[in-house]
Amino acid sequence: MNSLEHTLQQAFQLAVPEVALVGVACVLFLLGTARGVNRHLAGFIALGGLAIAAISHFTALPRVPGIETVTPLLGDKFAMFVRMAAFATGAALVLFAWNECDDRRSSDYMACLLIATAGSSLVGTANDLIFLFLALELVSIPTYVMLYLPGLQSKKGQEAVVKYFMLSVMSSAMLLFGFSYIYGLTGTTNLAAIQEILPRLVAGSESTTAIIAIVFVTAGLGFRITAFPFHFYAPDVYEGGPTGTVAFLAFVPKVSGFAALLKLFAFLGSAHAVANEFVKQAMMLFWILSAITMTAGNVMGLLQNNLKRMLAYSGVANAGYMLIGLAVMPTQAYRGIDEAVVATGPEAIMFYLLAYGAMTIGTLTVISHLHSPNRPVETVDDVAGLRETHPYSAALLGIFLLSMIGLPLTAGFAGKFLLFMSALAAPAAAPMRDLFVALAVIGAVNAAIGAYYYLRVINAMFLRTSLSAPTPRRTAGPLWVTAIICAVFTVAFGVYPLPMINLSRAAVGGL
Amino acid sequence: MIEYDLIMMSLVIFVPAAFGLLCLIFPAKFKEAVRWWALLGTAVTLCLSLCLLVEYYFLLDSRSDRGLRSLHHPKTLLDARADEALRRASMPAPEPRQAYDWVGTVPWIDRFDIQYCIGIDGISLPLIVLTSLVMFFAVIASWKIETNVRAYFFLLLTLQTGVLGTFFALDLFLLYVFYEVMLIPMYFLIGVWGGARRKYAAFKFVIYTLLGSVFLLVAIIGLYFTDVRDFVDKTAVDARAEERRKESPRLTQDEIREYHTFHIPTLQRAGQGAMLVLTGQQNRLTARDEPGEGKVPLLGRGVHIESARGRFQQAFFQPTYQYLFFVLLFVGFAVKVPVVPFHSWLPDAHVEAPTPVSMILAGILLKLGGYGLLRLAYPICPWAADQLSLVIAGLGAFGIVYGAFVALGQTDFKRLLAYSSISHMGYVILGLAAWGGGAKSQYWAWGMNGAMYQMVAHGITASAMFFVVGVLYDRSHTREIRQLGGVMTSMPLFAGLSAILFFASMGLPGLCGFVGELFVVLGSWNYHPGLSLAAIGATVVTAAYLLWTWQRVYLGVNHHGHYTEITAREAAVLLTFVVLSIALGVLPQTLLLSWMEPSVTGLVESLARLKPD
Repeated sequence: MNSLEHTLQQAFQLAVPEVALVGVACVLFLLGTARGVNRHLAGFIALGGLAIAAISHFTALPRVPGIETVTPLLGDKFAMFVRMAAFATGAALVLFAWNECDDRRSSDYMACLLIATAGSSLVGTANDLIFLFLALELVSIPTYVMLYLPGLQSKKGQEAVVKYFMLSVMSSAMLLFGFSYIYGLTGTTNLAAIQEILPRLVAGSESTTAIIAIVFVTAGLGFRITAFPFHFYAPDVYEGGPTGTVAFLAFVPKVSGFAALLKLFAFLGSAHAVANEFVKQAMMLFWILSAITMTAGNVMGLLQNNLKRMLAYSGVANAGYMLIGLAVMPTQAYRGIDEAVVATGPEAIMFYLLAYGAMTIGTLTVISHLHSPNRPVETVDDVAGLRETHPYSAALLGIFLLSMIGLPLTAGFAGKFLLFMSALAAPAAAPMRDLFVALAVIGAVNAAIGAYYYLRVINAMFLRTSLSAPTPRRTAGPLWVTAIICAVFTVAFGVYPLPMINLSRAAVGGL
Repeated sequence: MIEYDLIMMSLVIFVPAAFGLLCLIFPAKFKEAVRWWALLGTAVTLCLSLCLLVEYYFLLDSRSDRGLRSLHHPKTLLDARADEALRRASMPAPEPRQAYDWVGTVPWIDRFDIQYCIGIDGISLPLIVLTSLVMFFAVIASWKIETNVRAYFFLLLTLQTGVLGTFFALDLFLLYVFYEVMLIPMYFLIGVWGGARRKYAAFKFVIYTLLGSVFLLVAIIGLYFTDVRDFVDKTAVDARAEERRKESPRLTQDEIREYHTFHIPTLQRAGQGAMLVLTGQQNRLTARDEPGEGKVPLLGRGVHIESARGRFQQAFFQPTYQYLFFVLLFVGFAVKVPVVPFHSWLPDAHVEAPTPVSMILAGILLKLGGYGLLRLAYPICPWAADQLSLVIAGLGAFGIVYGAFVALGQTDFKRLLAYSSISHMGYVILGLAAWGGGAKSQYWAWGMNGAMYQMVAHGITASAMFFVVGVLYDRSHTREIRQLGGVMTSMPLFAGLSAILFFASMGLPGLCGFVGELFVVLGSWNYHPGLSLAAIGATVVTAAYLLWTWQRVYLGVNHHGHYTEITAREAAVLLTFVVLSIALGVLPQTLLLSWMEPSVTGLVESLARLKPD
């Protein structure tokens, strides 16, 4: 009993940083009603909130871990990795959205951003189905507001909000449906306990029910990671939504989605001994999802002329690449011991997520910087001749796009390399070994297809001449900070990826 | 302490990029200074690479038996030197590294056994010297570039680093990185400084090359996952196992000894082992310290064939995967050569690229493809290469004939030269593909030597020819052959020099083009007379289109007024090219073959012994 109490106490301690964030968000909401609050104050308070959260992360960290199968929150390395990623992204996005809203709405926007950041951080910590669901919703719900706030006047913006809202709610319903099956099967909502129980169940007659659960959970989370066929909202929302929120949407739901997927399906690795057939089915599911998602994303990306729509499909394609990691995750088990392998699927996913975040947020930053109502930057043609008119923006955007193409010495390449490595590292004993080789080939061909549309943008920027120069807003300091941080990350971890790879490996080691 | 050879080789690789970066800090108006600076950079690189050549010659000479004509010695082969370096590094008490073995290694990304591993031999060195030379002349040819001079030279010199690095790399990953690094400068050089359809051409160039290189990437990663512990010394495997045991004590004995690598010589040995396994000659495999009659010493020291058998079940040793890897590597590099079905980017890129970039493209970049096939595709997947040799030789011969006939129909001077390049590079493929084992290996060695010689010769004649077009274009502002004419009346010196270059390109005896083609034709005759005949027949077409072009351009009447005779700068470049083409045609043995042939023959011998018949 004492130990149980201790565990619950630990659980609360684990949530202190997120509670702090939500607290600061409440302060911001209240401030939003006061007069004379401008966006700079809101921005600084939001940054301060993130700083407080980061500090309390280090001071309030419980020393003794609680009982895994009881606690709703688990402070393992994975959780800490996701939390750090969430906070860093939060800070980058606060800077990004600094001038996104006018003075009146800015504090509300920042408050929503902080809550969503807290949510995505909690996804990593969650050790309970209900808690996981709440954390995911904590990301989704503020997003509706964030989509709505800056773009209040535009019709396209409103369409984006409604579309996102409807589909998001539906995906949550599917997720919850899947969760209910898992609960029905195992009789518990505790994730650690589910990891223990589920493998034994799927060996028996319950495997059909478990497959249904997996399909629904994947569908629900597939919406968040924009996997095919749950990606349909992405292009419209990206096109219509405010750029700051789009940057958020492009990255944060993917982090939380993949974190949740990794947490939920880690049991597949331990299930292979008892339920080989079941694990094969699950791997096949992710294999197909991955292959279709990246191919669909890239092929649709080819047809786009609007930059943000193109980025939406690029996000779909990148989700497909990352799903490679998920598909090969269960094969680790066939090796006997997880450490013998050069690259595991989950670690490749974690690395690629960060690389993807840096390049996508970076790209959107530059686009947002160049965009202005008088001279919109929306299509590929709008960035034509950027080399002459805005050489620094062009150089930054060039770096991000090269990273998306996957040229060596960029983080994007290191990430793709890891993912393909993980696919080919599937041990000989694992089923579908040849299919994983095929998946790596499909991924490589996709990378070449994707290169085409990224290159079109580079072509426009560097080789064409502009008809009229973009007229960026004057106050762009925070945007530049974000863009430069992203660029440094992209290049530094491209040239020497080892520290980040080791971090990712440590993070997923416990899964 | 870093060895002398590592420093020298790294200097050759990175001096151009360093000079290139410094170009950017010049004030924008100092155009002339930037040009001289870039010239200095390429001159330094050229000198350094010539130093490498001298050093390499010393290395060969120090080992050679003076009674023989050849400098061939088993211990000077790249494979042996790389092996020795690996052996020294993995001894329980590491022996000092050798400062004059011209192989150097620095760890880069340990987790994946990726190393900064570089080295030279008679296959890479001719191309390295060629690169430095052509780049030097390309900078001279760039004097007329007026826009964005700093960026232009920065890109040009970065490109040089990429190309040189690819030739030096002995680590697959490193090679891939350099191979890709070259793509971006080339893209901008064509795209920004090119002709009217430059955007399209640059785009096409990058897409084609990227498509090729993703194939390469998959092959590289796939090769990495082969457990090659049997082809590495036992001490090296032990050393690595010991390290891994400390890191992760839970591993089993077998897992801990898995040995994965990107090291090219090791993978080459594994590939040759695969061929023996697939042809049922497993018993001929033996450790490198236990050579025997009829044995092939491929396994690492201290490895016994019996213990290795189980691992020959791996994917890499299966026919399907050998085919897969070979096709991936072949397509990856064939795009660059270009082999005929993958060639359509080349005419566009050539036509649109500015003169110096065309020189580089034809002179150097195409050689990367040939080099890749020679260094990677063939030695790593010899079995598949042997099985498919007729197809590849056919592609090569088809390329020769096709390129020549299409060139005949061109009216754009540069496009004509582009197709002529396709035709000439076909000889490289044909020479490479003319597999022969046992007694026939002698002929294959001719073919291979011919292929290498053809690459160097084509590097010189093609870049010279593009320089000729550049000179003409500067005066007439057209590349249409029909609009040119009578150039000889106003530019007699130029006409004379370019005539020699035309003849060299044609393959006239006594000039450099002849030697390579002759060797290839000789080598392929014994492989398949039909293909050889096709190649011989194509020389007639080659002569036809080149002579016809020369006539149309230099003879006849000039309708466009007087052209000024070539300047001293242009004359110096042309004269050097002419001297080189004559020298390489007259003294092939002394100038090139003597130090190139040992490595090529070594490569042929190592592959030919796998197929005794």
